[in-house]
Amino acid sequence: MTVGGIALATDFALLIVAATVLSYAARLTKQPTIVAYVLTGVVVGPIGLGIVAEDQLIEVVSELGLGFLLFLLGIEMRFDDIRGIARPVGAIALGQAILQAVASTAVALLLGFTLFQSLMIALATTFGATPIIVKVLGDKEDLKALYGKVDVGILIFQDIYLVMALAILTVGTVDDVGEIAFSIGRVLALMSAIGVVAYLASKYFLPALLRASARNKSTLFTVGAAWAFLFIFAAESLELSVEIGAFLAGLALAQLPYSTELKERMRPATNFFIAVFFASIALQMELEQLLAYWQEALIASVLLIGINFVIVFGLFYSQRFDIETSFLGTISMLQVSEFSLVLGALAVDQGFVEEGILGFLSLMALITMPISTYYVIYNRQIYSYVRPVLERLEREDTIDAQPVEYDDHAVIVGYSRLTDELATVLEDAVDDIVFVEDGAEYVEELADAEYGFIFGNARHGDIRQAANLAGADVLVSASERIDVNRRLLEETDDAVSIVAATTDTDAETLSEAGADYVVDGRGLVGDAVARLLADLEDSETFDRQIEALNERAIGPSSRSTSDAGTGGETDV
Amino acid sequence: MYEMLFALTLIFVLAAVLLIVAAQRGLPVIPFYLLAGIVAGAFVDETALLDLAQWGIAFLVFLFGVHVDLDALRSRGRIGVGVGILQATVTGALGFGVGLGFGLDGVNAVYFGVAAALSSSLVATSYLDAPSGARPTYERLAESIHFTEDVLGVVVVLALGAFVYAATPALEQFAVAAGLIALGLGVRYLLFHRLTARLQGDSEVMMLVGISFVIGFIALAELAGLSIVVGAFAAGIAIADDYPHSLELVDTVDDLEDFFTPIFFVTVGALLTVPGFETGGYTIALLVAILVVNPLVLAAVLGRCGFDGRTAILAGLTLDQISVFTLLVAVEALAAEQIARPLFDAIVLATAISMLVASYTSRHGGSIVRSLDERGFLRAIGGTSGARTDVSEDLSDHVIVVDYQHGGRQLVEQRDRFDRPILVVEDNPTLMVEIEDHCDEYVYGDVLDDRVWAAARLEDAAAVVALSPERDSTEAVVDLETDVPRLVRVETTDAAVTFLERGADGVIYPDAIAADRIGDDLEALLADDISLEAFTQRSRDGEETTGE
Repeated sequence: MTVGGIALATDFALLIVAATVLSYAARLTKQPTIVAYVLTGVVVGPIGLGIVAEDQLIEVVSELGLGFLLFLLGIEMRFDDIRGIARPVGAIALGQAILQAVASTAVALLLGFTLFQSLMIALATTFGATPIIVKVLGDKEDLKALYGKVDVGILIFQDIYLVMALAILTVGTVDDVGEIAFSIGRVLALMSAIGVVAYLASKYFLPALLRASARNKSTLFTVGAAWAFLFIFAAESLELSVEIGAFLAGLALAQLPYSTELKERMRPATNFFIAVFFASIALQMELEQLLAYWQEALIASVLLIGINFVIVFGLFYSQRFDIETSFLGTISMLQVSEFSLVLGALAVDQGFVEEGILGFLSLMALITMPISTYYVIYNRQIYSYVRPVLERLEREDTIDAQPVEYDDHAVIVGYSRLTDELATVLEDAVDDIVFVEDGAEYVEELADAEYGFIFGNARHGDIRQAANLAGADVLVSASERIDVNRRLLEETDDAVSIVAATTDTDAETLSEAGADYVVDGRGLVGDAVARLLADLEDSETFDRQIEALNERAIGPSSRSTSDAGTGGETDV
Repeated sequence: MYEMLFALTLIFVLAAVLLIVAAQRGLPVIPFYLLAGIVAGAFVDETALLDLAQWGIAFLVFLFGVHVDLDALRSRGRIGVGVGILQATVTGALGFGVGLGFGLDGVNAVYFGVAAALSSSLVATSYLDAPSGARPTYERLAESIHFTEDVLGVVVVLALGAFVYAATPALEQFAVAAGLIALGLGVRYLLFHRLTARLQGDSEVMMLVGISFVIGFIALAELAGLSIVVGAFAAGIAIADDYPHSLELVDTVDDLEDFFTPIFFVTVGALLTVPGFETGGYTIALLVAILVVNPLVLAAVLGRCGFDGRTAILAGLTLDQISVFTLLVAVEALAAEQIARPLFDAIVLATAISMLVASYTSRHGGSIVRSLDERGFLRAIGGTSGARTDVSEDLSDHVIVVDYQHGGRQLVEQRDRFDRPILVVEDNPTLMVEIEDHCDEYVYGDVLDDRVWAAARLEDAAAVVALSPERDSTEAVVDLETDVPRLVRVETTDAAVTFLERGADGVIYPDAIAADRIGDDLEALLADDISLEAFTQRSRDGEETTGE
C-alpha cells in the first residue's frame, strides 16, 4: 500500500494534466474538448513525447468512461423530445445510415482498402458527433430551433444503430458462418433479456427506488452509479459489451422525472473518465499506425464531407423541410463522430481490424471535427452565401413543426407555501407555470398539479435550459443559494423577478444583479409582528388580527379559489 | 478488469442500499460504509482499490480546502476557535497520557491522542447542505468549533508529515508546507480568476483545471516529501469558491467526490482485521474519550465562557464523534507502517460506533438535556448570568421577544410603531453586546429556565413573541403557565396546528406572511395598479423599514 507514495504522480496524473492544458487551449479556439483529448494521447503517448504509457488505472478508468458515456446516452433518450417530428427524423436517420454506409464503403474500396476494412470504416463513420452538435448548437442557443431539434432527433436514432453495431462487434472474430449466426443469436437473446429486465425495472422498481434516493444529495448519484455498474457488470459477466449494458441501464431511467437531475449529477464523473478514454486511444498507437493511411484519411475526409452533404441535404429536403432548415441541419452533421473511435477501438480489441484502421479513423476525426466546428459556428453566414444557389429549390408547404417549449411562462424555483401561493396569483397572467424543485417529497404533488414540473436543482445548466428561462415572463426563486439566484437572474431576459435572500448583504447583491423584488423573510416577520403589536391596546382588534394570522397559517390561501371550508378551529 | 468491475459494482450497490436506509432513518452513512467494507473485504482484494481510494482522500481534503473561507473564519466567532483549541489540547494531552499508560510508544500515543482529541466531521461535507437561514445558537457555535478542529486536523497531518514519516525529520518541512499553502493562496488571488475568465463558464474544462490543481499540488508535495493531504489542501485553497466558480467548478468537483467517497470509506472498512483483545481495549478507551470526556470538557469550557447550560451541552453533544481527519491520519500512518495494527483497527471501529452514537445524541439532544437538567447538572455548568441582564424594577405591559437573530432585531427597530417597552431574551452571549447597545431591557439566558421568565417579569408582560426556530424552545414558550398571550414562530402548517392546539395564542408562519405581502404586491403589478418601479420600490421599502 502506497498512500503518500507516488501513485498519484503516475502516468494517469500526467495524462490528466496534459488533457487539461490542451482542452484549455481548445476552449480558447472554440474547439470541442474531444479533439483536445485525442490529441492529448498523441502528444504524451509513444507518438509524441513518449512520457505516458497505458497502465492499469488508465485502462480501468477509460473503460468506465465508455460505460458511463453510454449510460448517459441512454438517459438522454427521452422519447418526448422527438414527439411530433419523429416520423421525418426517423426517415432521415434510416436513409442516412443506408446511403452513407454505401457511399463510405465505395469510397474506402476506391482508396484501396479491403472489403472487410471498408465495411468496418463504413460502419464507424455514419454518426454525427454529439459533442459538436449538442455543444456548439447549445452555445448558439440553436438547439431549440427546428434544425437543432431535428439533428438531436437524428442523433437519438443513431444511438440505436450504434448499439446494434456494438452488439455485432462483440460477437468477436469467428470463422464458421453457423457459429456467427449462433453468436449473434446469443448476443441478441441476452440483450433482449437485459432489456426486458431494464423495462420491468423502469415500470415497477425504479420509480420507488429513485423517489427514496432523491432525498439526499449524494444518494441519487450513488444509486445511479450502482444501477449502471450492475448492468455493466452483468454485461461483462455474460461476455456482452459493457457499453450495451450501460446503455440499457440508462434507457430504463430515461423516462422517469428524475432523469435530468441524475444525468447532471453523473456528468462530471463521466466527463472526467471519458477524457481518459479518448486520450488513451492514441496511447496504444505508434506513429506509423496513426499515419499509416494519412493520404487516404485526407482524401476520405474531403470526399465524405462532400458526398454526405448531398445525401443528408437530399433527405432533409425530401422530408419537406424548408431550405434553410435543411441546409443548417445538414452541415451540423458533417464530421466523423467520437463513436467512430469507440467502434474503431472496440474493433481493434476484438481483432477485426489492425491498429492502422483506428489510426485512419482517429485522423479523420482529428481533421473533420475541428473544421466542422467552425462551419457549425458560422452556419448562418455560410448559408447566406449559398442561398442564391439553393433558392431555386424553394417550395411551399414545408414542415413547420414548432417544437414544444415553455414560452411566456413563469419559472418558479423551489416549492413552498410561498411559491405555491404566488403560483395561484400568477395563474391567469402567464401562459404556463413551471416549478423547478429537487425535493423528493414533492414529486407526486407537483407531478399531479396542473403546473409544469421539472425535477432537479437549478444549479445545473440543463435544468435551467429545460425551464427555458430566456423566454420566461416571470421568475420566482426561493433558492437559498445566492449563486444560483444570480445565475437565474442573468439568464432571464426582461422577466419580472422575485428572489429570496437570507442576509442583508445577499439582498443588496441580488438587487444589483437585477432582481425586481427581493424577499427578506426576517424583515417581513418583524414588520408583520410590529403591525400586530400596534393593536395590542385594543384587545378586540388584537384578537381579530391574531385570528386572521392563525387562519392564514393553518388554512389555505385567501386567494385560493377552492372552498376554504369551515373556519379553522379556534383555541383560546 | 473483471475483478475491478466486480469490486466497484459491489461497493456501489452496497453503498446505494446503505445510503437509502441511512437517509430514511436519518442516520450517518460513513459507519455503514465502513461496515460495508468489512463485508466487501471478504470478496475483494483491496489493494486493487487503493489507487482509487487515494483519490478519495485527495478529494475529501481538497474540497475541505475549497470551502475554507478565511473571512468566514473570522466572522464565525473567536469563541468557537478558542474553545475548539482548548478542548482539543486538553483531551489530546489526556489521550497521549492514556496511550503511554497503555504501553504504546511515543508515536502511537500521539495517534491515540489525536484520535481522542479531534471530533469534527469535515465541515465542508456536513454543514454545507444545511439551510443557511434559521439556525439555533448551539449549531452556529458547533459549526465554528468543528471548523477549528478541521484546521487543527490539517496541522496535525502536517506535523506528522514533518516529524514522523519524513526520512529526516526536520523543521524545514513545516516551512516547505507553509510555502506550498502560500503558493496556493498566491494562485487563488493572482492567477485563478485570470485562468478561468477565459473559459467562459465551460464546466467540463473547469473541472479538469480543478483536478489538475489537485494533481499538481500533490506532485509538489510529494517532491518535497510531504503528505499528499498537504498538497490537496493547498490545491483547495488555490481555488476560489466565489460566484460564478461556486456553480461551475466547485459544484462539479463536489459531484465527482460522490464517486470517490464510498470507495475510500469502503476500502478503509475492508482493511480491518478481526479485532483482538488489545483492539477492544483501545476502542473502549477511545469511545470514553470521545463520547464522555470531549462533550464534558467542551460544555465546561463553554459554561465558563458564559453560555447557558443547555447551549453548552447541546454544542458538546455535536462533538461526540471521531473526526474524518483522524481516519485520514490513521490510513496514512498505516501506509507509512508507523501505526500499531490494533490501534488502527480500534480507530476505525471507534469511528463507526461513535458516528452512530453521535447521530442518536444529536437527534435526542433535547431529552438528554432535560434529564441532565433534572439532576441539576445544567446549573452546575452555566446558568443565567445576572451581569448580562438589565430589567427595570417597574417594567410592566411590555412585550417579551425571544431570539434576536431571527426577526427580533427587525422588531426592535420598529418599536416606534407600538407604544410599549420591549424586553429581549437571548441565549447567545456573542449577540449580547449588540443587544445591550440597542435595547433597554434584556435578559440573557435559556427559555427553558424558569428564572429567565421570572427575571423577564412574565406575569406583568402584555405579550410574548418567540421567534426562535428551535422546536424545544418554542415548546417551552407554549407550555408556560401564564395568561399572557404568546405568539410563536412555526415553519410548517402541521406545526401551526399542533402549537395552536397546545395553547399558543398565535402562530407566526414566515412563509405565509411573505406570501401575503408579496402576493398582494404581485397582484397589484399584474393588474397594472402599480408600475414595475413601484413594485421594486415596495420590496425596498420593506427592507428599509426593517433592515437598517
